[in-house]
Amino acid sequence: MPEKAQKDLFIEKIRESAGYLHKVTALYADCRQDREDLYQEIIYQAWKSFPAFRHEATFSTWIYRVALNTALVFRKKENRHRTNSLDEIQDQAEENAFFISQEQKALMAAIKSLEKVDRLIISLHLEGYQNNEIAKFAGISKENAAVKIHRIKKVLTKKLKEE
Amino acid sequence: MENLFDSWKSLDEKLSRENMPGSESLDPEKIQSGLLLNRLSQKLKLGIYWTLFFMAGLLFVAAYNLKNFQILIMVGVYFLIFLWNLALTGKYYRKIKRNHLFVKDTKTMLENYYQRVLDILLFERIWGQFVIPMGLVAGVIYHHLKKFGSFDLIVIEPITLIGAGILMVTIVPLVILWVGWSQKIAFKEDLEALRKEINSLSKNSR
Repeated sequence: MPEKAQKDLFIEKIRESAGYLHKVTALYADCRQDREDLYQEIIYQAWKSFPAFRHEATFSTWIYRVALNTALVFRKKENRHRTNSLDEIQDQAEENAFFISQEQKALMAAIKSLEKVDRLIISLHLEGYQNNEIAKFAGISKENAAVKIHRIKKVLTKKLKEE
Repeated sequence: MENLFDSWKSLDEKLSRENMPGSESLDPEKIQSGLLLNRLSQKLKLGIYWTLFFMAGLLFVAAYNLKNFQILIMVGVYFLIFLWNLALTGKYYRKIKRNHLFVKDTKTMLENYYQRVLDILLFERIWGQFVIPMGLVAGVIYHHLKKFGSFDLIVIEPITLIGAGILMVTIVPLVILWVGWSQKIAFKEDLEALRKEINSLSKNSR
């Protein structure tokens, strides 16, 4: 496939998965700038790996793997400082505009309070993946995945009730 | 629990409609920034560049002493040692690159990457312990060859011998320690972050 066509196809596919990708960035990054960096990392890593995508899995499953693997090892730029409280206020305002309802905000906050790997597992679960798929995804046993999901759901429900 | 799914899905719908501010560009070729694995790769690559730099230095010395066959042999041996290093680290590096980041499950991918970085660092440390004292010996021989012109004519000067001996027990261990220390400084944080991710996947949740 010519490179231009490949790039167009890639961008089209990414657009289709944009919603999930934004959710992943929101789960693994704290402020708008970090979210943008992570989003770009995911696109960059996905593009690098795109030639190896052999349609054995659906594009969405493949891009989820890329997104989550990237998010898992993503580290914030160390030189980013909050210079003053105005930055924080701006971040807060953007945060408020980012999520539509209090319920969504609470859900995201609860998931973000989990360990990185637990966030990966619950996001896949909420996306509708089966335990065996999640286990395969994360490289753990099916039983382990089931136990983890059960425990995470309990923690989340408790946190949301406390809100 | 049902409302968790609903909230998650509704978020998806909302975000699919509106792009996050500032993230409009999807052109992958314009996207460049640091990533933990990328950063590790860059650091490994830097090690390879250093080896190439030393090899270029040896070529320069060889070019400078083209007429002295014995110096050429000595520089050639040292060049081969560096070439051996380049071949082995290059082999490890290619292995990392070939092991495509996203074809395996997350845990295996991270473990493989972690192990290969450790392999390279261990190799570099062992190699450094061998080649740094060798460098001093080569320096002494080079000095004598320049002075006397041939191996047969060399008379070991006591002052040089004492100087080399002192350097061997003072500077050489310091340089070896410095190599290990700089590796630690350069890779420690990234490797710890990587280990943490692997551990959280390995943890038995029972």
